[in-house]
Parts: sequence; C-alpha cells; structure tokens
Amino acid sequence: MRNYIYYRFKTLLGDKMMLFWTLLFPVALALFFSFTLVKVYSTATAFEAIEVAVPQTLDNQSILKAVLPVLEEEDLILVNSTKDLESAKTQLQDGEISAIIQETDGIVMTVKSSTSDSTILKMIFDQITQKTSMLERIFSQKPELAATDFINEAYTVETYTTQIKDDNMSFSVIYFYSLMAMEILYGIQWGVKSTYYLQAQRSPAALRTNIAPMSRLKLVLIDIGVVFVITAVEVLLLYLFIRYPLNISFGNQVFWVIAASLAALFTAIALGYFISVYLKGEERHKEGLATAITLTFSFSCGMQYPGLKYLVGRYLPWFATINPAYLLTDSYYTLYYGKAISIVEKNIMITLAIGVIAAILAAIRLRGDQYDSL
Amino acid sequence: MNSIIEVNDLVKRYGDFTALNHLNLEVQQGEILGLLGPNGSGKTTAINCILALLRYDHGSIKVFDQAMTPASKDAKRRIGYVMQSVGVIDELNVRENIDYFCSLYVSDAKKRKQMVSEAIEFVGLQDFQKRMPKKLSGGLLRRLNIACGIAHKPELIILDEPTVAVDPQSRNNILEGIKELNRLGATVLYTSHYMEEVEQLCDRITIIDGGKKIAEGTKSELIAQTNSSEKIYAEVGDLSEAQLETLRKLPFVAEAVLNHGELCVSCGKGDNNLSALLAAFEKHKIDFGHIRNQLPTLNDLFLEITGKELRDTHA
Ligand SMILES: Nc1ncnc2c1ncn2[C@@H]1O[C@H](COP(=O)(O)OP(=O)(O)OP(=O)(O)O)[C@@H](O)[C@H]1O
Ligand SMILES: [Mg+2]
Repeated sequence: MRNYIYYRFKTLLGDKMMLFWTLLFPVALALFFSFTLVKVYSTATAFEAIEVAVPQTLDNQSILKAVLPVLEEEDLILVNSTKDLESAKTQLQDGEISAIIQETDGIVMTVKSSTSDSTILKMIFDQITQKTSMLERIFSQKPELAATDFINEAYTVETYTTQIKDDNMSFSVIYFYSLMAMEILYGIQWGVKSTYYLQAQRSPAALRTNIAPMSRLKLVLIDIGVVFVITAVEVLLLYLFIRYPLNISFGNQVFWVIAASLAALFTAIALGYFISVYLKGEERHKEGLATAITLTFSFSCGMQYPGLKYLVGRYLPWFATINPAYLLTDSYYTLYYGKAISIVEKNIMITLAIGVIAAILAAIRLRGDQYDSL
Repeated sequence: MNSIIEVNDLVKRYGDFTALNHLNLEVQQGEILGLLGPNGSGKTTAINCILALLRYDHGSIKVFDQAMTPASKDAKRRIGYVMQSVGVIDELNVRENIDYFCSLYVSDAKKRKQMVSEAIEFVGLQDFQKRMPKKLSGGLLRRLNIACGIAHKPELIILDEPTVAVDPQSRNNILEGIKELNRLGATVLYTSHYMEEVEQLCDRITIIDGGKKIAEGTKSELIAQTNSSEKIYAEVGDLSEAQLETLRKLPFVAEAVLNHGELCVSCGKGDNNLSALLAAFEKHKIDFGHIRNQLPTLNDLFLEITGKELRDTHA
C-alpha cells in the first residue's frame, strides 16, 4: 500500500505542465499583481493636495466657505489666490491647477480633462452636495440639531481620506484573494486528473488497475487523500508567498482563513471528481470544462475586475451562492475587515454542502464496478 | 480436464448493436487456447466480460470454477491481462510501471522486487529500466505492456493481440515467451486475428465471427473440417487444353487451372497427392520446373463458413 501511495504521488506530480499551471503560474501572477497594484497603492498614499482655484468671493451662507478650509486642512486641496475667472481659466489651461470650483445654486466644478485628481474632487464634492441637501432636509424638520456638533461631524473630511485609501487597499487584496480562490479551484483539475488512472474507460492503464484485486472505493479514497495533500501544499505555498514577501494581510483570524480554504479545497476536488465521472467524451473536453469552470468561478469573484464581485453579488446572488470561489473570497474579505464570523461560518457551510453533494453523486457513479461500455 | 474459463451463452449489446451473440467459450487448464476472429468479431468484448469489467445482457461466466464478478478478488489475483492497447503510466519509468501494477497484487516488497526483475528479464527490457514509456519504441512499449500484465505470475494469462505492431523478431520472442510461461504452468487465452500466429502457438483454437463461435478444435481437427484440401502449384510453361483435361480426369484432382504458366491443381481429400501428380506428369510427359504444395489453412475454413476472408496479413 505504501508503495501504491508513493507511485500515486509520483504519477500526479510527474505532470510538469500541471505543476506549472497550478503553482508557478499563480505565483507569477501574484508577483505581477503586486508590482502593478503596489504602484497604484503608493501613489494613493503619497497623496498630494490638489490645486484648485475658487474665483469668487464666498459669502457666509455658502457651502464652500464652510468646507474649503476643512479640505485644505486635510491636505486634500490647495486653494490658490486667484479671484479672477479669466486668469483661473488660463491656469487651468496651462495645467497649473486641476479644477475651477464655483458655487452658484450648487457646486460647479470645471476641469480640463478627466484625470485621477478630477475624479477624486468630483467624488468629494458630490458627497458634500448630497450631505448638504440631506442636512437641509434634516434641519428643516429638526432645527434644534443645527446648534449641536451634528453639522461638524457630518462634514468630517476624514471619511474621504480613509475611503480613498481603503478603496485602493480593498482593490489590491481582492486580486490576491481571488488568486487564492483560483489556486484552490485548481483542485477541480487535480480531481479530473486523478481519476484518469482510476476509471477503466478513461485510459488503458486505468483498465489494468481495475482488473486488479483491489476495491475501487479504496483506490479512490487513497487518491482523494493524495490529491488533497498535493493541492493543500500548493495552496499553502501560494498563501505564504502572498502573505509574507508580498505582505498582503488576511486579517488576524488564521484559523478561519484555513478553515474556509480547506472547505473550498474539498469542494473543488469533489467537483473535479464529479465532472470526470459524469462528463462523457474525450479527455480534452473534461480538462477544458475543468479549466472553464475554474476561470468562470474565479473571474466572477473579481480576479479580472474587482467590481464584478459586487455586480455578481448584487444581480446574480444565486450564482454567488453556488460559486465556491465567491464564497471563499467573501470569507477572506469578512476576516480581513474583522466582520462577523457568522458570515464566514455560513460560507463554509454552503461550500461544504456543495462539496458533499458533488462527492456523493460522484461516489454513486464511481462505486458501480462494471461498465456498459469501455 | 478442468475448465479455467467457462463462458456460456454470452450476449453483450452496445445499445442496439449486438457484439456477442450467444457466445460459448471454454479454456482448459494448462492449454493455450487461441481465440481467432477478424477485426470487430468481439474478441476484446468477450475478454472484458470475462474480466467482469463489462456488464452483459445474458449468459454466465465462470473463472476458476467460480462465477466471475467484480468482487471476485481471489480469481482476479490469479489472472494476468495483456491488453490490446498499451496500458502504462506515462509519468513512471519502465521499472516503476511494472512495480506499480505488481503492487496491486503483491504487497511483500522483497518478493515483488524479485518478480519485477524477472518480468523485465522475461521481456528483455534490462537495458531500458529507467526509460520513460514515451521514449520507448512501439515494439519495446508492447514488451513493457506484456511485463506489466504478467509480473505477478498469474495462473491464467489473457493476451489480447499482444503482437500488433511488433517486428517479426520481437514477435517470435514474445510467442516463445508465452510458450515458456505455459510450460511453467500458466493457462493461456490468446487472442489474435493473425491465423499463422494462432496456428503456431495454440493447442486449441476457437474461431469466432460476429460475436458467435463458428468452429473449434485443434488445428488438424479444424483443417479436417474443410472441404478443400491440398493445392499443388507447378511451373509448367505451356499446356494444351487436352493435357489439362487429362489432368482434370485424374481421380484425386478436383480442379486444374493454368495461370500465367503456373498450373494449380486442387486436390480432393486424401494423402500422397503430390507423388500421384508427379507420376501423372511423368506419364503424360509434362515438363515442370519449380513445384510447391499448400495445405488447407484456417482461412479456407473461415472462407467456407462465412463466405469472407479472415484477414491474415502481417502488416
Ligand atoms: N464501446 C462500444 N460501443 C459500441 N460498440 C462497440 C464498443 N466497443 C466495441 N464495439 C463494437 O463491438 C464489436 C466488437 O468489438 P471488439 O473490440 O470486441 O472486437 P475485436 O474482435 O476485439 O476486434 P479487433 O480485432 O479489432 O480488436 C465491434 O463491431 C465494435 O465496433
Ligand atoms: Mg480487440
């Protein structure tokens, strides 16, 4: 038996292409992400105040009069001394300032072209406008609030700054989390590969194995164990790489990170077995389907475009619930923000349920010892 | 005599297609039984049923006197199978492949090591032990395929066209090897569509076509079943129609035709046809050059029963 297990490891690990795609490729991708994303992230932290012109005299009732000093204090913007609209326009044209801010009925922002600075300014002033109209409505109903600190708190600009940083942070972690999810979903591929030498109709070598005096169930269980060990080591290596050299945080609750990862890994392998048992036809079709599922699942949890994670969660909730990669990144996310463990528990339960169903269905087929055709 | 394999009234359908049509087959202890049939006659299907890999629609199969099922571990332990398609693991080298499959039968590591070495020697792969299967030539790969099937020293060896794509010299080695295994006590079921191979190797032959047994017996028993018998070919140059007619009138001659200066005389049943013909040549003053005779073959029998040729050309 020891001999058999040894050869199973040797056989599965002997596929160099498979090792490349399931280990080196994700590591390279992680490295690539970190190069590009860290650059984005560092420009966001070394944030320089955006220079603007406010070519008008503000009266005491105006919103800008209230918020500009705060924004300046936070180093978000720098208002220059220009009071004349024409020279402000020239400055804008020459690129000396990023925008002209004016207040008539509402706040009007003029920019030369859409840049990251103008996006940030737009975000800031949009929110100020929204909050102002909200406050106006509140005060018209509850004037007594106007005297309190309420207004100061409402305009605290800190929220903007942290939001900017946070957004970048979550942008980058989601790439790495979905990379982990992809790595774990490679378990599907490994599952498909493992049964190649177990199902008599898939390869002559499997046929030979099937006429030996060994119970198929035993052989399958051994293989699940072998595949689990191989994939778990791969996942651990990628995790350590992302966690330490690349320094991406997974929050403080390592136990739950591991639990969520292992649950997803189990389900991925079970799905691999399920596919290989139920999908008839050529090997490359099985491999193709396994790859397609891996990519679709990890794509929709935000690998290519983080916004997709939210869109899927919002518009295709059922797909999100059956996508182990989505559930996993959601768990990682929850742990990263230190939110309720109950969400993670629920995700793990759903993931395991999918895995158990796939495993049972696969076992029903695999257990049948005879074939109708070979 | 003891039957090692007993197949009774076996019917196997693939959907609408009937691959085995009430097949009966018996392999007796200690013999080499040849299962001869053209492509698609159901040889591989029959074997896969015997090995309990395929579900079948009707009939019964006994191996070592026990009904054969997927759970027949004891019977499985005593069977070795050399498949038609090469069944080896690409990621393992020659020695590891043999050891891997042997380990499914034999758990004692020391014993297994010995068996693996013997199997390697048996097929003559000593110089290629570390080679990966992908780097072996077709013939060497076939030999590895054989070693994987017999390393555990089975009492019953089933070989399904093991010599396809093997050069004549290796083919002879393989056939000699199978005879040797048989001498050492193994019972052999040997499948082929090569008539000569089966004639050369097997004690008894079962001929199947369309999933049915059409003839059975030792080679001479089978030949005796044919209506045709010996054909004699002689280079005679030119013969007159009258001379031909005289030859045709001879009692042992069934037919005589002249084809490009070669006379072909089909003889009736009986011995001494050649000397009788030579005497007739002498008497009628017919000069002849090269002369050869051909005894009836299994192909003639097959042709008579099925109306088609048993394809028998070694590629
Ligand atoms: N899985 C299958 N599905 C449908 N038909 C099949 C299947 N396997 C074999 N057959 C058909 O059953 C018949 C018997 O096939 P089998 O492989 O047993 O023949 P064979 O005697 O071994 O031929 P060969 O000498 O070419 O190996 C053939 O006509 C083949 O087309
Ligand atoms: Mg065949």
